[in-house]
Amino acid sequence: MIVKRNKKKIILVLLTFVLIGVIYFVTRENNKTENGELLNLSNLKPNHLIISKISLDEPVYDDKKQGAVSDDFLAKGLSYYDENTNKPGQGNVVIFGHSAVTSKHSAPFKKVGKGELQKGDKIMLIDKNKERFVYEVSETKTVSADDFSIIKPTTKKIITLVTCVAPDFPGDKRLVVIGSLKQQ
Amino acid sequence: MKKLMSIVLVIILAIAFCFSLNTPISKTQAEEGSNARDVIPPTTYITEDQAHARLFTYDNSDFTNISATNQDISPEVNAITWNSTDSYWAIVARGRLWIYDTTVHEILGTNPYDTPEGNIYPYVDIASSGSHDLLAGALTGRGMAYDGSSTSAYNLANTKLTSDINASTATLPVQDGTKFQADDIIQIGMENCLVENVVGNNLAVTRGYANSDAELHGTGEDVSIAIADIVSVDWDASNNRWIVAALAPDHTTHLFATSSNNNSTDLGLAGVSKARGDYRVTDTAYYLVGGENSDGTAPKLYSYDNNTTLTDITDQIPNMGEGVRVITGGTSDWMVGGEGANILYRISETEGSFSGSYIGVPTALTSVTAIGYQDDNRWLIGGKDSEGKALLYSYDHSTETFVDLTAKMQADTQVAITTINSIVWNGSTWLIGGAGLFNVSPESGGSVMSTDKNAKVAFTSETVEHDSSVRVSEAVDIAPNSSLRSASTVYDFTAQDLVANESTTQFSKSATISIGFDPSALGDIPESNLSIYYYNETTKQWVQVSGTVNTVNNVVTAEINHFTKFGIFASNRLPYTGR
Repeated sequence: MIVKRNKKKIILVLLTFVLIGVIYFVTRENNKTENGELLNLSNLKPNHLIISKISLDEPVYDDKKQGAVSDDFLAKGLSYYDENTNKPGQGNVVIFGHSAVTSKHSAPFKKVGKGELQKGDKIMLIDKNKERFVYEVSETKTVSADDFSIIKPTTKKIITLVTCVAPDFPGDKRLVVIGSLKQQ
Repeated sequence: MKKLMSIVLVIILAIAFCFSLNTPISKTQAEEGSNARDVIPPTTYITEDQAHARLFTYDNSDFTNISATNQDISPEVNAITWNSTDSYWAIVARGRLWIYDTTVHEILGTNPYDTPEGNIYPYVDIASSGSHDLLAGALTGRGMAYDGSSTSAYNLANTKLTSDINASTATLPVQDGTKFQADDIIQIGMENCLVENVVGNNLAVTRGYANSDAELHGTGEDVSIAIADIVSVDWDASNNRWIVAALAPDHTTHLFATSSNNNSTDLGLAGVSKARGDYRVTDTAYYLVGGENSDGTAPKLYSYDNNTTLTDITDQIPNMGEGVRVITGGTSDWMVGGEGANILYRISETEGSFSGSYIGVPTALTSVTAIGYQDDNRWLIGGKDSEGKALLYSYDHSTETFVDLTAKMQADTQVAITTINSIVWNGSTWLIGGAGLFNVSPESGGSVMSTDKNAKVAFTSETVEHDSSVRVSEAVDIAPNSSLRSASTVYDFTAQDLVANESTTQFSKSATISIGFDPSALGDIPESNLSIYYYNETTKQWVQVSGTVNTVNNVVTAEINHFTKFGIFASNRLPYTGR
């Protein structure tokens, strides 16, 4: 009788460990970069954009954009166009960044502006709560600078990266990279 | 059962353990971004300048602003008189009576026309007999007497009916027919009648005159001259009575002689509108009364020969233009001020014959609003320039020279003075009353909005240096460059420092402006692209001002410290991300 009871306890403990193992491996799969490399979760920083293909790992700010654009907008680096319009994972997340360097700002989207992102490339966005969203590039295009349709809220979960077109950076054109949410 | 629960509990704990290791904070715990927008605090904005009564002394050297605590409770000082017997100034300021002895204080609580809403009859003139004053009200011909301690109603009623009349009775029997003349409009109850002629104590009348209905009236009912406004009051020292100029409902002037309440005599129809009158200082043989004709197109001036006749002497003020505005008697002559071309005349009288001599005034002076008399040579002339700003001059008749005191007046008083209504000399000093039209002061700031109520500006205290007139007016649109889309009317924000008499464009502290925008003008452009822009007159470019967009009320608000043209524009370009 005692042996029978102990057997059951042992089975229960074993089952528990098996369950722990299964859950660990499932969640571990989630903790990889957009290209399958394992992330060190303790080092994850909130509001970061990671594109391994072009070695981009940059913070995304929520600068206060005024009218045209204030001097501060994009001075620190990448910025949401309007974080309150569509939050990461909810709709059209728009991120602007410079593709040309000046004395006032760096160029985190230098390679984006050169057209180095292509359909199928992965983009990871870590939001302010350290939640990760992996997008896959579905379209790259050049649009007119007054084409506000690219920043409109959408029901489809997408990311839109906007920068100027290298090497001439014309004022009336913008390079747009659109990615669809693949993993959350 | 217990075993089953144990298994479930262990599984739950295991799952919780694993997720605590790897799982990011759940979205339900995430702090949602704030969508809160700044809301413009409720402020009472005005579209017009606010008037504040102004009262100040002048000792022929310096001006001193007085009555600081009283001047904001009335929009205007209308008239001043000096009571030489009791040595105080009496001042009417719209519906208020102020006494200035050692301080300015209001006669409160005894005004017969006080109502729960305040006194509603604006007085326009006041005169002193030495022992008591008569105040004149502009509305419905109300008068008020003040005997030095209390006020009482003073009516220009005349007499009473001596028998009942029905609606068709054409001859009215009254106690004293001498109170009336042909062409008088008389009032019995709510009915007006036109007097055709007077025979003894019987008045032949047209019943139900001037938009009224003929009614039944009973014996003893008051019969009075119908009066719309009292416009001028003076003391006839020779006959111990008041001379009151009042407008009938048809806006022609009647002169009344009145020695007590409800006991007035109509002296005749002067045939002028908006009349002002005055006796000479020590002589009440002749009364001069002037104004404009009934349609307001030309001046009129009459002399009233004591107890006899009114004589038209308008030909003595040729080319005065629009009308007589003020008459002040001196020792031997009168000064007559007006509006239009020749705005100042000296009128002399010799054995009942009157002659006028034109006095050339400084070119800046385009109308005379007040004349003060010190002696035959020394006068103060208050008026306005072509932009409506107050001017004050001293005039020396012996040399026929004017000295402009305006800048000294503004510098000494340090308050806005935009209208001068009354100037009186009491033997040692002048008391000058009028109004300051301003809407922003250093002490309390102020808030102003455009006529269409779409653009507003609010000042806190100590933002302007002096009382200022601030305007927000619609301006001609100035097209922006192609990268901006207009989303509002363009407004011109202007401020006039009324003490320094110059426009102000820079402020020591910021003011808050807000302009409403039209969301339908935006098309695909997001509202977050909206901003207030100011127009740089030098570069001819619109320049963005940091501000807050309120998408609920469709208003953009910004803090600014300079005035120019402002408008709401939206950038119609995606942010530039190149060099």
